[in-house]
Amino acid sequence: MNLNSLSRICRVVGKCRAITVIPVKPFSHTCMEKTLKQSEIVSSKKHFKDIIVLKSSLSSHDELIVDEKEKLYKAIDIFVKSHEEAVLDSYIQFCSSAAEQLDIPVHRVLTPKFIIDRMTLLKSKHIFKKHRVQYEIRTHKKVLQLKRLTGSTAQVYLEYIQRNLPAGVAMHVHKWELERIPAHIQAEIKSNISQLTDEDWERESNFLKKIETNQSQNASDYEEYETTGRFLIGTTS
Amino acid sequence: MNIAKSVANKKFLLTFAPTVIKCSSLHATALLCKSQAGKHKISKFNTKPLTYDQAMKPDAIGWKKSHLTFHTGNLHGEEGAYQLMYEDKFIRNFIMGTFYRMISGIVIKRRFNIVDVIATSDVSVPPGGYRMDFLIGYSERLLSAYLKCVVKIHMVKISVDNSHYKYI
Repeated sequence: MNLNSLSRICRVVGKCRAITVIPVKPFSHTCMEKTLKQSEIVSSKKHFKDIIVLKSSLSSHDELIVDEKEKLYKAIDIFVKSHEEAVLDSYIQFCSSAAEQLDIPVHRVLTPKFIIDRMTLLKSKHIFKKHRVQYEIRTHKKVLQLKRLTGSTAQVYLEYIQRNLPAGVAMHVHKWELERIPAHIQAEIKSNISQLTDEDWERESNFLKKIETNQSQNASDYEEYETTGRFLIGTTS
Repeated sequence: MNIAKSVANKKFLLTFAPTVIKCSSLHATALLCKSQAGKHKISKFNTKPLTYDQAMKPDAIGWKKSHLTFHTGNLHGEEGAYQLMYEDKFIRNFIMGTFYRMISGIVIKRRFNIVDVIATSDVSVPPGGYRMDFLIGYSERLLSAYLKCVVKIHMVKISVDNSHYKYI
């Protein structure tokens, strides 16, 4: 798949934010306005304009274009493992250049320390316990950390990346999604924000500082990068 | 004075000594480090050909030599080592059998559902005689039926000079 065509698709999809076409009976203009207000959209005015433009182009069709909520990712980690580090190096170079083409900000590339699995086996098939043979298996690792993606770009990028995975390379993708604060909590915040003291504000600012410092960790802290839990960007533990 | 100097020198040298400790039970020199892996029996008049891969010992993997199968089963934290090894052995036996005495080396690469079998042949086969295309198609079909994967076979023709690295 050509990268240029992919990037074009990405930008278009990014604008329209994951369109799904649902066939509906012919509707009135006022009905459409109501549906827009009921669904929660990030910026309603801009969205309305987009919808109107699309409607005029497809005026002959009896189809309602509903905007699915676009997922927003705070960060995506691409964790790659292989027996050969040269293969990993070239693959990660390819991945980061593809990310640059699609305007995805690359946070950094980590190289956690490689793991050696050793086996000490008997050299002879009968007796001679004192004489052994040692074998080892090395797995090299690399992590590509990307920041601030939309769901559609992530989908396209990951599909492109995975189609070009070399043989013998294992990939794990860790995603961190941004979610809206639930409505009832938002209401509580609105009602209680005036009651916050200076102590509370200090505490919150310290918390934010902790998060910021946690983001700029050394690569040596990621030596045992295996699971998601301990290495969340934006957590303090 | 001299004794003190010699002792001091020895201590100085010991700090830079290699980590190998010489005692009666541990032999770590190259002469005694005998292992049977990757060894081939020599023929009487050096007629037995070895490919480059066969000529290099297993400790040269990652240095002068690469693997003959590429899959993720043996990586740390990944599953499927036994099954993939078993399948590899099956594929190799099958192809050595169907293309009898025509193949010098087999490389197996796995990518998702696809198994790429790259077989190198150094034997010049007459075009009408052995029906290479039929054999390739037949083995692809049967292998994909057995392994429940998409199997693709790539036959690569190599000259005898490139194939035979050494005669033993």
